Amino acid sequence: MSSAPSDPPPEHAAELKWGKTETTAEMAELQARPRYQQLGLDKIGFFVVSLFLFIFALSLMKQGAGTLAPLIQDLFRIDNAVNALGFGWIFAYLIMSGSPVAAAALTFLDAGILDKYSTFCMITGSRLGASFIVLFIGFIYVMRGRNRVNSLGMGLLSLVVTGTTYLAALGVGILLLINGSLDQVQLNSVAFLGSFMDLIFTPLVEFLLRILPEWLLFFIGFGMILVSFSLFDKAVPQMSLKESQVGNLGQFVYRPWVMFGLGATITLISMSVSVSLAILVPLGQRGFVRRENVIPYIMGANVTTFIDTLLAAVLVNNHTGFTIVLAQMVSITIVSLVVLLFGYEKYQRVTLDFIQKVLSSQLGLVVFMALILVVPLLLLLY
Amino acid sequence: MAENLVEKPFELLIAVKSMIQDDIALRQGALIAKAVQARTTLLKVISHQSQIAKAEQELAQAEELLAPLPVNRLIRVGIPPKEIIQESKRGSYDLMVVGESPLNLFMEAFLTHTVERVIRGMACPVLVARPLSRPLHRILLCEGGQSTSLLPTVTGPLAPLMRCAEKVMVLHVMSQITARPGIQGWELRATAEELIDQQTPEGTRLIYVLEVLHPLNLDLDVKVRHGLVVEEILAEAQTGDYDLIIVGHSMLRGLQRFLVDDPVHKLIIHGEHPILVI
Repeated sequence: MSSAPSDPPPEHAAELKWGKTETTAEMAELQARPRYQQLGLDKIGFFVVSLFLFIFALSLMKQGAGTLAPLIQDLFRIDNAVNALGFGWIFAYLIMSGSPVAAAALTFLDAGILDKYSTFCMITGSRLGASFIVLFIGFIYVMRGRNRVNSLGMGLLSLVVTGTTYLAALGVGILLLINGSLDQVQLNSVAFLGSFMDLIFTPLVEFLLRILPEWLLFFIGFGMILVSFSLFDKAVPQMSLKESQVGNLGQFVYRPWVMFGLGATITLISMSVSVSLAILVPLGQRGFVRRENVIPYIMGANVTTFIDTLLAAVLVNNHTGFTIVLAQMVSITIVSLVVLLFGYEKYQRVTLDFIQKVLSSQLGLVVFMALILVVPLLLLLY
Repeated sequence: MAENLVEKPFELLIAVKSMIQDDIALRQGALIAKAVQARTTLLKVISHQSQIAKAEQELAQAEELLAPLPVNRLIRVGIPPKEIIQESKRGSYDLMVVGESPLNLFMEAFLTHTVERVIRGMACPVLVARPLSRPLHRILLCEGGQSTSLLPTVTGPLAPLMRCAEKVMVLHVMSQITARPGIQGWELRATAEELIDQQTPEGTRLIYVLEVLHPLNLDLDVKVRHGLVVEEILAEAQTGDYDLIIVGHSMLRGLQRFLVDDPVHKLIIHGEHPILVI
């Protein structure tokens, strides 16, 4: 019912990062690289440095978070779950990333600035804000004159799927926290990790504390987290999918649970929903993917995107923080599975029809963009 | 492709199931048999030997509907989908007609439709008949490129059936969206003519399909729709008032059967038109 795509015409080649056929010249170039690059030692190096910076950043943020209580509670007046949701949402918009905001939420919990429900909502807000990024990039292309429908389709889809599932998961997650069913689930190695971190990072934190104001440590740590994620992106191997079985993904309509698993797995490795969505480009060769495949893929990505936040919760060494992130993952998994098992076709149709309506007119798009900016602001003012 | 158009008698197998006056496969099969002057085999599968006499009576009544065409009558004892598949393999049939058995929503989720079991094991094209039987004048041929047997079958053994059609629409559905911003996706809004003009992969495929079907001397047209595959096929079938939808069935093996979704299943569940699966 739809044909297999082939290589893109020449004028599109510059648009695509992947999808080239490896030639003899390229193989020669690969072999001419330094040995350490051929062995992938550079990527291992990026990963190690990224991990070091991530842990160090969390230590700094944890140390400095307590001093930000006046800023959070008095200036921003974050004192309930609703405005915490708006705060996380806007914060993620501003820095164009969700994971650092989620990590910040955990340090605020640890410092006693936020309670567990507010922390849960702030993390949810961070994911809603993070899904805006793909849409924002599409919007830039629209401003540059690209066709509206094509530039925004994937971004809008990502935002709508994320928004609908996370908002449904909000209720489920809050219930899980209230009844305490996940409280007993903890990692036994937390104590060991805590000791290890104390040994390595506490001296570094104490050194910085002697020369810098405590509140500044939070922001230095925050900046360091952004750098660590950027380094981690360099550490993720570039997948050459053209030669593999997975390169045929564009031909078939895979079962929703298969795409759910694929989205979850790829995001688990890349630790970024933006990266795992970008990987769909080589899977679709010409830059297209089957719309039947995308929604469950995004749902799967939205589950394992919390892995780095879960790690942050372990490193912050706060049991409640771990439970909160676990509640996030469990609740979004429950909501996604319910949709996939019992109402997927209807959900798919409604979502795609909604996106088509939004994109069919300039007014629709403006109203939608206004809503996703105004709603978090209103929540923040609650 | 003229060499594929053989003039042997059209061999039709009709799996008769229920009361003769209500049997949808029989009614649709009779219309086809008369249109192509087929040699028809009526197959009735019963669960116990004690039902043979009743089955013979029913088949005798069924044969009257097909008069004066030649008819064979077969009665098998066993499990219907298994016996139907075995018979389709034994005889060299050009087409098999089975009737849809509607399942309620609960059963749909847990039981494999008899018709789908037949399709999975099919040795010849299967036409799934619907309650509303009618002559096959307007045909919707869904071409996606994955089934390698669709075109050779349509121009070969099923050519007599195709020639009965007054109009054949070749439909291609593009269900893609752009994977990321910045990808030029004019093709995702293009018509068939535009895709053919620009010689995109889809356009090239459509030209090939038209060339293959040309020797049948049909009133051919081609269309591209954009959206979810199953929805667009059903929408086109509805708006175009077609009498038959022809789809290819990818014979998935092993792990692929678990990984890949089956649009034919959804067309059978949600559609109202007869479907010919090749």
